[in-house]
Amino acid sequence: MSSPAARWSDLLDGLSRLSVQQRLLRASAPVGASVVLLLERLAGGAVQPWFLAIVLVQALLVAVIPDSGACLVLVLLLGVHWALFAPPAVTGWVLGAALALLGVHLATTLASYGPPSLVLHRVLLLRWARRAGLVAAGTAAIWALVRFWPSGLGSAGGWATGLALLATLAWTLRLTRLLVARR
Amino acid sequence: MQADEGPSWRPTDAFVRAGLGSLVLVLVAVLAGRPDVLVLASSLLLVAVASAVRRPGSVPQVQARLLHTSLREGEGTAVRTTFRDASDVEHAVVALAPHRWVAYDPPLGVRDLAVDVPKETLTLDVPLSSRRWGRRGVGDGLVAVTSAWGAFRRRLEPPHAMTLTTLPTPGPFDAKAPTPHPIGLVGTNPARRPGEGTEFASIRPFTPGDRLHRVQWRVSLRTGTLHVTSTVAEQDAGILLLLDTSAELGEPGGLDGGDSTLDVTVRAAGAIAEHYLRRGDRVGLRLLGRSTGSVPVAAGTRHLRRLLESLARVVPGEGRGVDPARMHFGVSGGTVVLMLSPMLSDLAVTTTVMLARRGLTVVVVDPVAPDLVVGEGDPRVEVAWRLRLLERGLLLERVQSAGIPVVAWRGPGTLDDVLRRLGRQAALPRLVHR
Repeated sequence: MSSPAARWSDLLDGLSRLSVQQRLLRASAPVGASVVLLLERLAGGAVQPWFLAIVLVQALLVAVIPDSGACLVLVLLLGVHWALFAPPAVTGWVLGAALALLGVHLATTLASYGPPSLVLHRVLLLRWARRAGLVAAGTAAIWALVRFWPSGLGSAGGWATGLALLATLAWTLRLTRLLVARR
Repeated sequence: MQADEGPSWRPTDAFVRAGLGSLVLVLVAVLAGRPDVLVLASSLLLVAVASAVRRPGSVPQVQARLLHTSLREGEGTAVRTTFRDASDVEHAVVALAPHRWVAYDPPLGVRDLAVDVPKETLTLDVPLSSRRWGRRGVGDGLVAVTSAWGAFRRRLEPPHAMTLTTLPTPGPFDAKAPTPHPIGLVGTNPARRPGEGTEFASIRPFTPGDRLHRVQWRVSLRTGTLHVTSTVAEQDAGILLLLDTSAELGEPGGLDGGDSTLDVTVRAAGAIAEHYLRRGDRVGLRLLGRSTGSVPVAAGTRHLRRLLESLARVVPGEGRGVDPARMHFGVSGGTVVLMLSPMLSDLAVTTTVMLARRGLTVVVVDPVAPDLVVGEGDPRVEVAWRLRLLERGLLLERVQSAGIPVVAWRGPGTLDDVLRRLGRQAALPRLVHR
């Protein structure tokens, strides 16, 4: 078990060896988070300066240690803030924010594939580009479904909410099994 | 070498993020009736579902090995990592720990492999080159494999280092002078006794048994009696390389930098051994003050390999506090002892003088370069080094006053003058201390 000083030293050592590709990937976290906040503002939400500072600090933390839980905290901060301070309208800004969140997630995932000096293989980058395109298309489809639902999903009855809760519960159980059983 | 069994596949932070992040946002969306938040969560949700669907089943095993365990300075080999049961592996990475005298390609020793088509067995090589002689552990580091969507990772414990022996690359060396006391059977050195050889000895009257092609017709016609040309026998010689490894002066830089005195000593010993063994002479090795690492005097190309491997095991700072009177060198009369030493200790001087007094031909080869810099930038160390040089001068005087020649190592021709002089002296009668 290495001491905190040794870990700190390893971290600084790793940052000094960052490849150009890693720098770009890690820079995507603060950039993506800023884009989400900008889109929230454009969607009519209020972004307080203190929150902006917290998000930027968290995003920088993600850039420094992408292979950690810092990015989960960042995603939750952005998502919950949107739920609290943005108007409940499914506009194009929402789709943009969802894609920006996807960008932050994918860039952080790629940055955590190996040591800081690693330059990822072209084959892997192309594969992830295809995946990003697929997920973006799926997200756009969901956005379109929600946006153009005849009576609006927000006004759906209790049965729809119950069905959604059931699906969420099933997903929670599945996820718990995957995350806990293999630890 | 089998890498230590690490834990099985573990969910990555990316999967945890996609799973928990989307779950929390979906819950918020459902409970607060916010379809816009559901859209926000949808991208992460899709990634999490895809990751869960493509979860890995088989557990890959990893083996690492060095393609060559012994090489010469500057030569290259590779650490080969083989992944078995790798059908669920999408990406593999090997990060080798840095070592001072090992150069990797790429320089930081990190190499990855992206799998295009799933395979049962994957191989990943990290090329490396050894920049300095010696024995050191390489191949330790980190191995990790990642499944599809970067969702699960199997990180293996660092494999244990494997020993890589780097043989010294002998520097350029050549000696035209014969050794003074060849007493072997066959070789290239002119001996003191007459025999079948190529070197002219004298023209003498014919005796029964002389070969006809040796008849010297001109002298025979002039004198009226049959004369023949006689030659001296040619024999192999014994060389003992005695290495003083008690001190290392100067900063070793490997093949890409400067040489320390120990670098010069080891490479010079390798060069001398290679030269004399190729000539058919017998060469042995002894490390001053060490009972291990000795190689008896013998001949042959396989013997050169033994000598170089023994030289690769040399560690600086050994051989202190040893009584030279108790040391056994295992040399026979006629062996030439080449003492490679910076002559900084009483042990080296006493041993050298003692061997010379036993009647052996001893030559000190000095590996200290005239421009050697010690403690550059530190005035206290510079002063200490100057004092040490003064002491060394006194020790060298002691050696020379005992009739032992001291030559500075300069590669080809280093030993020519001194061996010729010793050869001439060998023909004269001398007093031996016993």
